[in-house]
Amino acid sequence: MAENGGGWPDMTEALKRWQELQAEAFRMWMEAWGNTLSGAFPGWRTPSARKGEKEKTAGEARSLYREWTEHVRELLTGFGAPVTGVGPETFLRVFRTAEVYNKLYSLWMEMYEDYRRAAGEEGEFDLEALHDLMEKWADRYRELVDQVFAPALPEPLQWVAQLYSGEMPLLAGGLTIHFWAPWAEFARSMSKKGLSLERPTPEVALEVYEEWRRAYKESFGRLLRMPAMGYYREAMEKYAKTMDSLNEFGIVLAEFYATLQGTGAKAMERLQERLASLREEGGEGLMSFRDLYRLWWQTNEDIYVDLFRTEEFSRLLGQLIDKAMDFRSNFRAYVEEASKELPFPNRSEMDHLYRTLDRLKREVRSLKKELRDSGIAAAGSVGEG
Amino acid sequence: MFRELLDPKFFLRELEEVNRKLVKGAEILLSIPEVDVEPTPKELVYEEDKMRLYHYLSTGELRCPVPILICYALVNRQYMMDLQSDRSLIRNLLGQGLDIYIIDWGYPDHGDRYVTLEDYIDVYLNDCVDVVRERSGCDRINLLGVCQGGTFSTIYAALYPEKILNLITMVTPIDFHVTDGLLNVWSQYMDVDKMVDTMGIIPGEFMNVGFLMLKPFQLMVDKYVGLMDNLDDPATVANFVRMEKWIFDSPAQAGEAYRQFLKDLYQQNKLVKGELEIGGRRVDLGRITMPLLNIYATEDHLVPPASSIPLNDLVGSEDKTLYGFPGGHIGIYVSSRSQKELAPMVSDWLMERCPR
Repeated sequence: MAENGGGWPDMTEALKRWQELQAEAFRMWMEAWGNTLSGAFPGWRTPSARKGEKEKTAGEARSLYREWTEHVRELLTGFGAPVTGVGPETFLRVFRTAEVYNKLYSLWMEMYEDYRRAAGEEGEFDLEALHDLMEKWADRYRELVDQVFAPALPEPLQWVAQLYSGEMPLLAGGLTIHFWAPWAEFARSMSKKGLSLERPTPEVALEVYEEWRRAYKESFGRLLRMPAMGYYREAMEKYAKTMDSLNEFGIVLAEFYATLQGTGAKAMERLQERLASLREEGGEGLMSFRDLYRLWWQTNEDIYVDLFRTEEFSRLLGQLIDKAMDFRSNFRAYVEEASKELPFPNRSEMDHLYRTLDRLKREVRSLKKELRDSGIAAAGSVGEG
Repeated sequence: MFRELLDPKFFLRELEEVNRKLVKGAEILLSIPEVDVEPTPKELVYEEDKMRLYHYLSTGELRCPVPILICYALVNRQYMMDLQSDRSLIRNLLGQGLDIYIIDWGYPDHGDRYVTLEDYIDVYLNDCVDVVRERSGCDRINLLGVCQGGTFSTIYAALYPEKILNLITMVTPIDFHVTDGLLNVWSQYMDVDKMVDTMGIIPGEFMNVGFLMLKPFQLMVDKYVGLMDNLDDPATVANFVRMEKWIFDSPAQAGEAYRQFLKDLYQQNKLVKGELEIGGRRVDLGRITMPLLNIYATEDHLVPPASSIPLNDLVGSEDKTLYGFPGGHIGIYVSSRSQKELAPMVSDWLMERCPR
């Protein structure tokens, strides 16, 4: 069967793909659970360990979440997207955004390590060395930012990533220091706090991203908020606002993911505890893979619902929605500005029309009621007469 | 312990079984012609803007001359009550000899962003009540509200007690400040004004993300794993797909109505405090003096029992019944227990209060 108009791939091919992925999923589960179980059962060996590969540690089981997201992403890619904007594509975007988080995190880790080396234990550094480091960072940031931000942008706007990854005049000359200073401050602050991210917790991650946000606002954020000039001033300014709010949204989204991922690690620990306690209790315990699976999802459910119940999470969710709304309204303003010469009405114009229509409908309704009431009253007075 | 994990033969057998089911399931999915819902015949009797009022056709004997008007929530579609012929609260109630009308709120689009809570209650719901009164010749009718529709019905009964003979609420949020419900907690931190001003109407997909997050692993993972177990059974797959359709067939929310519902009820809990105003009139639950049947689901994760139960203490009715159905927010309509117990219970309650 050939691919149809809706974009579905060939069904036989899809089934074959599904089966392959199924096998891969089971392999992944075996590996991950093997690693998990090695904590509770020292004698346990993963399939790869049995084949003579280096034995994995129980700690590596925490990579299950990442492997899982990778697997689901791959699986969804294999099945294509039937309708643009919904279904698998929606999930793909979600997982792509998770990648953004991971990449930002890696970027920060590298910067932090470099700075820790340059700044020393006390957080004091030499300006010359700092300048060299900034140059090096600028190059790396230009490369990374393209990878990090480009996939997160709506497709028609992906070229925007060039704003950072291309040759920005501001990144040359003496302004470089000015531009990167907030990042230096960021690294120094992190160094002073002595934060160790060998084993990140949500609290640490949130603190890091708060500092990251401050650095962003003082560097790229200022660039985007700079007044525009010339013929396209209005559009440029709206566009810059859009990008600024998108970045603000990205930062909160990263915090959001940090919280979710930190909780994922907690869930894995809780699962290990439950497995260990089952083992200690003896008896029948878990008898099948299905039992283990049930314990896994129920443990995760409990942990995540506990998280969702917290005031911190509710506040973060509120912030995430808030930033998403800022981006949406700025993006709309930009699109309306950029498309005002096109031969169709925009949302603001339609809203104005809807508002007028709404007022007219209410007026008609009210007049009808008046007529009806006066008719009743008139009939009543005739009857009385 | 962990026999399947430790023995590759078990594992391969499970894999083979899963794949066999998958192939069979794919055949079944490909042969399902269309997802059919709402099997019970009904006729359109009134429409206003996007709202439609339907009357269910019944061939059986009418045991109560006073009709019931069902007011469903705005956030999902009313056909949950008539999902399929063997899981239909409507069909069951018809079978008990009741005369039933139902409101379909439709799918609001951007043109409906200015529709308010007052429009829903004072205009649409009130007009439907008047149409049913006129058609039936009854001055007062029975009103059955579901979930958010139950909140609407409660507000309506407080504003227009002279038009309602009996009030039935099902899984209805009344006290929005109980902390059992995650939606209650999350809504406290939302800038509702900004959301409505930005989006105009609140997309159904946005609402669904929130509902899925209430039980993320059960609703996004285990539900589909569970399907795998029965993928080779056509009836189970068809049932699953019908439910899936209902879950994701989510209308958008008219902006202004959403704004007031979230701010006045979820955030400020004005209904319970007696401070809610609709169309310039204060909603006093003490004015509800007609008999009340308040049904909640004991395992409800969307509207926790603690949110529904307080209604009985807030109304002025002397004849009031509180009924806890053992099940969840959806199970109350589609579970086999519901089919056997709920419809007869509602019907009996109404018959006892039906004028002869």
